[in-house]
Formats: sequence, structure tokens, C-alpha cells
Amino acid sequence: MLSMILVAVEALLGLGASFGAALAVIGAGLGIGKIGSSAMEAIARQPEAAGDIRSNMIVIAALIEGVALFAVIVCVLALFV
Amino acid sequence: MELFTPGFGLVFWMFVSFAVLFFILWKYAWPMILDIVDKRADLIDKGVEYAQNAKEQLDNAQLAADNLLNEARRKEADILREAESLKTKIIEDARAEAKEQAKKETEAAKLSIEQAKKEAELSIRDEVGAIALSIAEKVVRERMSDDKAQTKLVNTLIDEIENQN
Amino acid sequence: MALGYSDQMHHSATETQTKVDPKEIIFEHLGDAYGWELPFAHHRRIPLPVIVYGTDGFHVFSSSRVTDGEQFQDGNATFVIPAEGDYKGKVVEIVDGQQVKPYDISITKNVLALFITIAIVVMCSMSLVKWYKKNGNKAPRGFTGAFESLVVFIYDGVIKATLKQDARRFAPYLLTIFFFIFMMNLLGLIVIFPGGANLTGNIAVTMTLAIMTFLVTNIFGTKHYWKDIFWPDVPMWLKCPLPIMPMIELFGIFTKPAALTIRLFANMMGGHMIVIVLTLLIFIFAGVGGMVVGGATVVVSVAFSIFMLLIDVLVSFIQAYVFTMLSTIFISLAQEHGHEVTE
Repeated sequence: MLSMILVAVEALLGLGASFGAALAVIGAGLGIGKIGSSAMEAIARQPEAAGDIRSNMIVIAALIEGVALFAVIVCVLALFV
Repeated sequence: MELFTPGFGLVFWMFVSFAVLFFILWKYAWPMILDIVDKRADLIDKGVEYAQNAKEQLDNAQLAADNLLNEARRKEADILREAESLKTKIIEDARAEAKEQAKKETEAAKLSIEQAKKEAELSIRDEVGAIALSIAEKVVRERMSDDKAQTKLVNTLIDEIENQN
Repeated sequence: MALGYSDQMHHSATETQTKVDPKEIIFEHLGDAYGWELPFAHHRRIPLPVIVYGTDGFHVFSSSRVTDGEQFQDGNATFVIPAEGDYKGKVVEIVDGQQVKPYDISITKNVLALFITIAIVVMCSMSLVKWYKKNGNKAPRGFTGAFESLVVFIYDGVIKATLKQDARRFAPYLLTIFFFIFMMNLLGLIVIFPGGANLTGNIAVTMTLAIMTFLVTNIFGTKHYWKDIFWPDVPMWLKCPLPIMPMIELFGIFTKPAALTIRLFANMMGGHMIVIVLTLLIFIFAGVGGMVVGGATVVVSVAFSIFMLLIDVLVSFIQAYVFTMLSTIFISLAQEHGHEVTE
């Protein structure tokens, strides 16, 4: 009985961790997609500013990824600790 | 979990190494690098400014040169015109003078001709007189055989000459 | 790395078809060790010195004496690396039969990689300085030129743009941070010596960097900055009986370096982990399905690994750039000199 509970707990941990990581990835994907789309629009409007827009876009994408990776860290911690 | 707990040794060495790196770079590398980067940026800015000024000056110089050229052309036209008028004036003056001169000469010539005429007249008169006398002498000699007609003729001749003088 | 795994496979193949343990291998590669492994023979290591401060002072000895679970007697103290338990993989001292963890400041693989990184950064900077001494104002060529163009990119693009007047004062620290992180990231991608040590994927390293930014920001912060934190310009009921806003602001001071830490750490560790997992896939599939399936996954896995490594190069630069940029922004926020309230 105890072993079954332990196995169940481990399975639940695995489930919870993977779900959390998936949700985090969805959030990051949406955010970066939005940035990408507005960057494309801005470049289409004003092609001379393409360089500026590109660097800003990459920086903001890195910041969003940072937040998503917070979630991934928490999931990994849940899985292994 | 060991992946998420910082190990004390690594933290310690990290502080030490970063302090060493920062000290070395701060002392020997960054001041010079940043100075030269700034100086080069200034140089480029100054160079750009200088080039712009030079271009402006060149443009101005070009304008000034054009102006000068136009002035020169105008002056040239003026001078030419003046020269033209001067030329015509000189020619006219010369002509007038020549006319004067010609007039004088013709007068002088006239005078000399008069003189020559008078002289010629005088010499011709003398000669003609001599010839006439000789002719008259011959004629009178031939025609006059007596003295009476001779003395009457001489008296009338002398009266005529006196009247003439 | 692949040949190292084949070594492991060899070991496990001589035993009875034990599966390749992915967790073990991953954590071995992402973690630290007391010796530097040789390029193509993963289980032979070059031993590095172990420096511990035990119960009775400093002990320095080569890690070869405690490999494979041997016990080492140095004076009164006995040292061993236990294979199981809480202190798995770390040098512990056995005092009265108990395992006691001493202060461990040994030169591990990561510390040696740190030293190598510092040597490389100093070499690059000094070559630039030497060029300037020889050639004055002219622009350098070749590798030195690339280094200098990076310096100018960060200095003009990030530091001067954000800091404006104080740029010269904080530029050394920020530029050092950028090149340090960039070099550490790049070295982590190279598989053999001098690279191969997962430095920025180690939370101690990134935590130290974030702590240093935190110190620089707050030590050089102006009085106005501190005033804004502890007595901000908000309505009175947010400040006085319960200091809500000050608490939030104080919290904000600590979350910013925490964000810096986690961002850099997770990005680098994630990149490494993906590459390792992709490579391990080959062996896992080979273990399950035999040589044919293994061969098929080789192509796919190698292709993806190359792709991920290329992205990792880009991510190295971007993460260094973002760290520097955020540090600059934090410093500039702390340098606020206040503005007169126009009535």
C-alpha cells in the first residue's frame, strides 16, 4: 500500500512538473509571438528602422524567456526535490 | 538538489577571481581603451564637422569666384566699349587735324603759288619787256627813218609807262 | 562527448544490459568535479588539488587520493568522497564516524575553468592595449579589431545610451561583466580543454555575478534613490501605519538580482541540457531497439544537436548582452538625482 502511494506520488510529481513546464512554454510562445508580430509590422511600416527594431525585439524576447525559465526551474525543483 | 544549491567553494573562488579580473582590467586595460574610443569618436566628429565646414567654404569660394568672373566680364565689356569710342574719337581727331593741316598747306601752297606767280610775272615782265623793247627797237628802226617820228613815239611810250606805274 | 558516452556504454554493455542512466550522466556533465577529465577517456581524470578547511585547519591534497571511495588520512583527519547520501560526490571529513562537511574551497574543474576564462579575457584586453600603445588612434584589425568593435558596441550602444554622464565611471565594471559572461558562455560550449566546463550553468557563478551587480547598484546609489525606496512619493496611507510601499520597494531591490541570476543560469543550463539529452537519445534508443534504431537516431540527433549548439552560441551572446543591459539600467535607475516639482 505504501509503495503504491509512493509510486502514485512520484507519478503525480512527474505529471505536475511536465504540465507546469508545458504551460510556461505556452505563455512564452504567446508572448514572443506577439512581440515578433508587432516587430514585423513595424518593420513593414518603416524599413529603415529595421536594425533598431530587430535589436529591441531580441532583447525583449530574452526577458520574456527569463520569466518562462523561472517556471521551468520551479518545475524541475518539484520533480527532483 | 545539488544543481540548485550554490557550492561554497565556487562562490568563494568566483568572488576572488572576479575581483582579480576587475582589478587588472580596471587598472591597465579599460582606462586606455575607453580613452582612445572616446578620442576616436571625438576625432570622427571633428573630422565630420571639418569636412562640412570645408564644403561650405568651398561652396562660398565657388560663389565668390563666379561673382568675380561676372564682374570681370562686365568690366571687359565696358573697357571694350570705351576703347571703341576712344578709337572713333581718335580717328575723328586725327581726321580733323589732318584737315586743318591740309588747309594750312593748301594756303601755304596758295601763297607760294602767288609768290611764284608774282615772281614769274616779274621775270616774265622783264623778259617780255626786253623782248618787246628789242622787237620794238627793231621795228622802230625799220619803220622810223626820221627822227621826228622817233621822238614822238618815245614820248608817248614814256607817258604810257608813267601812267602804268 | 559522444566517445565518452561510448565509454560508458562499453562499461554498461559488459554488465548485463543495464540501461544508460540519463539522469546520472546529465548531472555529471552539468555539475562539478574534483578532477578534469581527459578528452576522450571520460573516466580518467587529471586530479586537481583539494583544499579543505576541516575541524583542524587547512588540508591540501591531490584529489587522486580520494578517488573511487578511498579514504585519505592527512594528519588527524580522514577524508573521503561518499558515494551515497547527502554529501554524495563531495569531500567530507569523517569525525567520530559522522560525516562532516568542511569548508571546501578546492580547485575544482569549474574553478580551473574560471581561471582559464580570466586568463583569456585579460589576454584579449591586453592585446588591444598593446595595439593602442603601438598605433595610437588607428583602428585595429583582425581579432583585436573584433574585440574592439564589441567594446564599442557595448559602450556606445548600451552604457553611454543609458547612463549618459556617469558612463565613464561605471563602464569598467559593466564591460568586465559583459566579457566575462560572454567568454564563460562560449567556453562552456567547447567540448574539450580549455572549454567543456559548464560555468554559467552553475547557480553559484550566476548568483555571485548578480550579487556583485546588486552591490554596485546599491553602494553607488544616490541619496534620492534611497529616499525613494523608504519614503516614496505616494499618498500617506500607503506609507505610515503599515509601510506597504517601502516593503514592496525593498522587495523589488532583491528580486531584480534574483531575476538576473535565474535568467542567465536557466538559459545556459537549459541549452546544455538539451544538447546532452539529444546526444543521449542515441544511446537510449540503441539500448532499447538495437543498432538499427540507434543508427537512425544518430542522424536526427546529430542534426538537432548542431542546431541547438548554434542557437546556444547566439544565446550566449544575447544573455551576456541582456545581463549587461539590465545591470546598466539598474545602475542608471539608482543614479537618479531627482527633479524639482514644478507647481
